[in-house]
Amino acid sequence: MSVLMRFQNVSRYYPGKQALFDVTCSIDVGELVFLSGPSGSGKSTFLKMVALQDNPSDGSIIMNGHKLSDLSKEGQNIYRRKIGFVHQLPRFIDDYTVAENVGLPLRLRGFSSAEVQLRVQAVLCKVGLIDRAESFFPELSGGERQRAEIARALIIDPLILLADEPTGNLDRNCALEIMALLFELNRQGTTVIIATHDRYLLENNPYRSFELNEGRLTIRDKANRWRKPRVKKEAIKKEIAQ
Amino acid sequence: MSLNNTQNRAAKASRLQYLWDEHRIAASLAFQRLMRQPYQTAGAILLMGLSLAMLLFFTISLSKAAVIQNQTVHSSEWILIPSEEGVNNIEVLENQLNSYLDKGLVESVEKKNAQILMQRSTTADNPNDYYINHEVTFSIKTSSVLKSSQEHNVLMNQLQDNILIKNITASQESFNVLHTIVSLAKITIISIGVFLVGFVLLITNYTIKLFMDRYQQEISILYHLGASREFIRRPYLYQGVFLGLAGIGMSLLTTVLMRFSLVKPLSILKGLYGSQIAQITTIDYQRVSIVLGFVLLFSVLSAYISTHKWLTRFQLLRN
Repeated sequence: MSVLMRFQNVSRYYPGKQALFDVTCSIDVGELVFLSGPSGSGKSTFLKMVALQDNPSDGSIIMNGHKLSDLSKEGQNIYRRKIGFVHQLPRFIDDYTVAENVGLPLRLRGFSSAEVQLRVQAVLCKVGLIDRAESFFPELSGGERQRAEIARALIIDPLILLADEPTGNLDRNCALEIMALLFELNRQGTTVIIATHDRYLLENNPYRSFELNEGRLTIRDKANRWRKPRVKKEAIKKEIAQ
Repeated sequence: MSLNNTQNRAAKASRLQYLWDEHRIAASLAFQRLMRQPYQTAGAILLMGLSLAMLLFFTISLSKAAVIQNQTVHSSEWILIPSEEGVNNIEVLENQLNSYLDKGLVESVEKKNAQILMQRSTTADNPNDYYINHEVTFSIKTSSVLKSSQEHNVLMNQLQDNILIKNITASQESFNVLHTIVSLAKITIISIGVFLVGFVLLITNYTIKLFMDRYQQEISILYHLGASREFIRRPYLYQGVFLGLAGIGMSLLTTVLMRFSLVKPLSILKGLYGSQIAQITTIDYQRVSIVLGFVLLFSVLSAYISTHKWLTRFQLLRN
C-alpha cells in the first residue's frame, strides 16, 4: 500500500492553548483510521488541518507527495474540492434543497446542471435519501442530515473522507447505520478518517486508531488491520434489524 | 485533427453550458434573497430611486435650463429670376454654419424658416424681370460649447464678415451672463452628481454587506468545499445588479411623473411670460441612458468592492 498522507512533526498552537504537539503519522491509500481521544484533545484540529481549514504552526502535512503549505490559493481551493468532510452537526445551506446541497461540490468542479442532477440521484440512492431529494435541510431528521452530508462528501469521489464524530448526536440505531455506511465506503476503496470517542466502536473494529491526548499522538496498531470487517458488518446488520 | 476539433468544440460548449447554468442559478438565488428581505430591499430601492431621480433632475433638467438661449442669424438677399445662384447661396451659408458645428464652435444649427417673396425688378435692364427674396433664419446655439467671451467674439466677427449674412441678433452681455450661469451650473451639477452617485454606491455597499453578514454560514460552507471567491461572490454581484436596475426603474418613474406634473403649470407660465422654461421638462433619453448606465456599472462595482472587503475580512477571521 502506498502512503496517501503524512504528518511530519506537526504542532498547532492557539493563544493560551496547544492543540497538537509534534504529531508524526501516516495513512495509506484505502485505509480506515479511527482518531480517538477525549474532548479538546485535538481531534477536530487534526481533521481541519487535513481538510486545509486550519494550518500547522510547525511541521508539515504531505498529501500524495505534495506539501499542503506549498499550495497556491487556487491549488488550495482545488485540494478542498477533493476532500469529503462529515461534521458532527451537519452544515448545509438552508436555501438549497437536499439535492442542491449534495450537488454543490460538483458545481464547484464545473459540472453542468444535467450532469449534477444525474450524479446526485445516484449518490442519494446510495445513502437511501432519494425520496428526500427535494426537501429542505430543516425538514430532515438527525440521521437523514448525516446521510445527506455523507452523500455530499461522496459525490466527488473524495481523495479522503473525514468524519468528525459523525454519530455523536444520533441514537444507537442511526449511529450503527451511519457507521455501516462508512465501513462500506472504505471497503469500496475510499480512505476514511473517523474521529470518535466511542470506546465500543474502537474496541470492536479491526482498524488502526490514533489516540490523541492533550495534543500528543499515540498509534495503536492492530495485527488484523487490513482484515475486511465482514463479521462485524453482519453483526451490525443484525443489531439494526433488531 | 478533426477529432481534436470536435473535442475542443464539445469542451467549449460544455463550458458555456456550465457558465450559463451557474449565472442562472446565482441570479435566481440573488432575486429570491432580495424577495425574502422585503423591507430591507424596498428601503434600499427607495433611497436609490429617489437619489437617482434627483441626479437625473440636476444633470439633465438644470443643465438644459442653463443652455436655453440661442443666437439667431438672418440671411437675406435678392436674386434675379431665373438664376439659381440665390438658392445655392442659402446652401453655401448652411454649409458654412455646419462647418462651425463640425469644428465644435457651435452646439447646433437649425434652419427655422424660409420665406420667398416676389417683387418686380426696378433696377435691372429688363423691367419685366422679377426678383425673389429668400429670407432664411438660422438658429445657432453657442452657449454650452464656447469656453470664453473671447471665443464668442471671434465667432460673432466671423459671422458678421460673412457677406451672405444680413443680420445677427446676439448680445455679448447676455452671452457672458449665460456663460457664468452655465459654468456655475456645471460645477453644481458635478458636485451634486458625485454626492448622489456616492450615496447610491454607499446604499448598495451597505445592503450587500448586510446580506453577506446574514449568509456567513453559507460562505463558510462554500469556502470549506473549495469554492473560489468568484463563485461565492456571484449571487451578491447579481444582487447589486438587481438593486441598481430597480433603483433606475424607480428613478425613471419618478422623473416621468415629475415631468407630467410640471407640464401644465409650466405651460401656464409660458403663456403668461413667453418663457422657454417649459423646455426643461423634456427628457433627453441619450443623456438619461448614459447617466443610468454609469449608475448600473457603479452599483455592480460597489457590490464587488463590498464582497471583496467582506471575504478578505472573513479569511482573516478564519486564520
